[in-house]
Amino acid sequence: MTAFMLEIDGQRVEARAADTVAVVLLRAGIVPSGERSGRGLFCGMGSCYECHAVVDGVPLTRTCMTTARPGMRIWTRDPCERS
Amino acid sequence: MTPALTVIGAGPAGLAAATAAGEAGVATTLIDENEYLGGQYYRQPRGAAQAGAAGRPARAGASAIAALQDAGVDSMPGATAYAAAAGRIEVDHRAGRRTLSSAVLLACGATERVVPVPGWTLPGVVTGGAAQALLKMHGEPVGQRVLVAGSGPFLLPVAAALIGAGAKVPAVVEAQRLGRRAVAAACSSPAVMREAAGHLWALTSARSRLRTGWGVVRIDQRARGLCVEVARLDHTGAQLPGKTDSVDCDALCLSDGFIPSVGLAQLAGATLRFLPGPRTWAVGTDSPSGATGAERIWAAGACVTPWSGATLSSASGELAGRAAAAELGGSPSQRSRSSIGRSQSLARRLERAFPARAAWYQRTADEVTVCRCENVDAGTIREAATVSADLNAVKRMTRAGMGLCQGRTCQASVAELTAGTAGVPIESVGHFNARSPDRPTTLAALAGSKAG
Amino acid sequence: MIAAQTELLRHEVPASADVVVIGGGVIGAACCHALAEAGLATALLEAEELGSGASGACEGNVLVSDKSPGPELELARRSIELYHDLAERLQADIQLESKGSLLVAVTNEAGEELRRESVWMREMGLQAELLDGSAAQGAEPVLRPDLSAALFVAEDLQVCPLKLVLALALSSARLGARLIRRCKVEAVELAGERVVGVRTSRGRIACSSVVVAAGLSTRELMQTLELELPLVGRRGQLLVSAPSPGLITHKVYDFGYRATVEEHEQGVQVATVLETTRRGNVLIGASREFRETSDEPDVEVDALLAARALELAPGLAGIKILRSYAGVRPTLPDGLPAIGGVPGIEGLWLACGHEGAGIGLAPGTAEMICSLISGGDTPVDPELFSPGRLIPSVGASLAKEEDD
Repeated sequence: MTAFMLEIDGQRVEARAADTVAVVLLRAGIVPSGERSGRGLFCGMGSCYECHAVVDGVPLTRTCMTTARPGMRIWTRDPCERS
Repeated sequence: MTPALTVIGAGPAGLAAATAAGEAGVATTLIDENEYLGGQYYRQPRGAAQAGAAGRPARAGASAIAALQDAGVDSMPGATAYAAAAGRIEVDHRAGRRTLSSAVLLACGATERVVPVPGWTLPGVVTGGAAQALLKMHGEPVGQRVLVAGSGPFLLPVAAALIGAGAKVPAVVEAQRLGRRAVAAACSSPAVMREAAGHLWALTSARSRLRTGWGVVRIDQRARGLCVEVARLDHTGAQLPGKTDSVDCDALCLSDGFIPSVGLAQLAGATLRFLPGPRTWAVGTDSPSGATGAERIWAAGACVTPWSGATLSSASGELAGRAAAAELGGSPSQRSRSSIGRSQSLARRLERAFPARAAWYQRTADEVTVCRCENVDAGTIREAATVSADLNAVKRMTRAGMGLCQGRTCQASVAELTAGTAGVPIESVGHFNARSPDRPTTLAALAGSKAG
Repeated sequence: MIAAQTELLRHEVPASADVVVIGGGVIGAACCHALAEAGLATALLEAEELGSGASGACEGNVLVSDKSPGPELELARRSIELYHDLAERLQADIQLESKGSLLVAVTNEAGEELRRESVWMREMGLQAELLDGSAAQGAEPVLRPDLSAALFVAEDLQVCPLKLVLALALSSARLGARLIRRCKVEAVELAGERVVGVRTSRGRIACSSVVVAAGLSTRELMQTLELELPLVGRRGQLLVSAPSPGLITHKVYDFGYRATVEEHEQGVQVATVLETTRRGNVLIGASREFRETSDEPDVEVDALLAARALELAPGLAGIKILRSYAGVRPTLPDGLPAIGGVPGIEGLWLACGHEGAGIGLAPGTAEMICSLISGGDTPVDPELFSPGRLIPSVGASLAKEEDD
């Protein structure tokens, strides 16, 4: 199956075709830090918003509802940490 | 094409409803905020998981989706309905607003009830539904060693599927002391009996314990994974004093029942109905037509009956779809595919066997975060409840329910804590007022334009 | 903040009081607090929950910059003076923010008018600083780059309205006031032309003074006394975003908010007001329409609010809106609140009709009511706020008697 790379918090991480961003984060063991420390996938169906991250510049994107694409940039930490 | 009927939610109820309406010759659009049809139960395998054997629900889903296409229904996945009113629905589709002027059939499903306990916000603690979604979509278990806990017939398929995917499930922890009622529910149909027996066999073969009358009281993070403390509960669901056990695992699935998704129905002016067993609110409908009483709004599936399961959801969806079609000038065939009677009686039996319990929330200690979005703890909610036993007043005072999830995750907990503190029946505290948009929606989409 | 004080909010109806305040919104709570501070035995009656009406459905604006020279501006300035030590007096965090307002003008005409505004503001001693378009965008990067001008007014404040109402109520209770919620007023009892008590759903209170601060319900209560108060409800709707800290720092509003408010086809006026709560939620307002219900959502007004906000602040396109809500604000024909005694009925006082300025004018209103009742001096002349200007039946007959 095709694998590709995307970027999470500045690190290159491998993803597989049709992965959601949430499953990529889970496999890589990435959990948000900062104000949202420890929060991550909870309901897995788009209801709780706990798994949100900045995806390609769009904040508050539910990673469990978002399909991973090659080259995608994901930021899981506080927005201000990046700048 | 402007549809005559828009069906919201592409799970078992929505698929059956849209198919029935389409077959009756009514121009129907089916929308769902997921990128794929199927909802939670029929969730289709994706990518690498497709190569593996798809489970029975996925196969049933594939044929339901095929039937939908045969019926000529237009489907719009990735579209989020954020407001509904008589004869119209507002949709955020690809970051732009679309107004669909049509009748509406709500098949919005349900979310899971999870009783907040110390540590429930730790990473690795997920709902049973989240574990199921990962398994169904990606074939991946949420952890290698996964404890499944809570209450309800949903725990068994989650545990069995985890085992099937290679995870170790040390135990299934069920809060109810399962007795006559659960056995009666399981024996009410050969299909249910077979299914339950299959799950139990999977548990037994994997040396996984079923502990009934137990509940999670605390979750701690260890260097590797989680340590989950479980305690005995009495028949009311209250924790019994005495010895507790601890279980090490790297993930914990919690599920304490289902909460119907009623936001759009509220916005559309439908009245809600209180369900004493699940201690929650559902869309009120006239059975079996699914008419809500609000003009040109129908509802079916788990947003009406939380314990409906796929069979009842599908049956009630079909009936509501036919009823809506008949009213919209379509011509439904004489006979419907499914009969609703047997699955309705199963849902009622399950409701009785797995009632939600007020005493569960004694485990929600004052320092436990209840509203995960706004970080409001149980103590703050209890204090507010001494000022007012009105759920919306408590919301205003504490900000619980005002965050990103718009109260979906905490509403049941805030209601239980409010009622418990004030010493009033749960139904008297009410439910959160509906506010549009029903889902977080970008300012650009609300304005009718594409997001920058 | 609620801790250990909750018993203060669970009072029963007292047999008697010096003053009964009807209405547990910001005006009623502020009046109750001022009266309790003055040492009067005060009871506050709220039909539902504290702050459950218009006070709980607004932005928490405390503005001088949207007023014109005149009595309302004076009352606003007096209120701001009082606000600065209010948090301390209340022993509570009311989330008071001295953030100042940025009035922005899109067109050149509006820019010119803004310049004229700045002149009188400075003459009145307000800190008003003119900025060009690019400086305005520098201050608030979400704004469009081609603004004609902007005016920064430093005096404007923001508070959290619900925290304010609750803090006023709790502080009043600590001062000995009785707070009775879920208590409906059935009648104000008169003996001749003098107030002698209030009959409620939970018992009677003997009193010689009643302050009616019941918002729109004031109209119905006056009708029971055969007085017609020309009070009408004006609905205002707001959008609330998910927390987006740092996106907007000042209170930003379209100068059109003051100048001309465009009439929409449905009779809805929308002029953009943007601000951020302490938590970082962006509040996007504001609409005005003559409608007296607040519960039903209105997606068309949501769309108007969103579109107008984006015209002014394109940088907000991607923020996620969590909810919209509406409040019905009571308003009087001349746009001024009614503060003072009802002519012809001794002991009956009104404090209502503040429309969108209730939070901003509450401390000054309360001070005025308290001084009028206890016979003290009022820093702001109460004459122009007198209910006598609005109640022709009593006011006219009195005037006629004087003419005769």
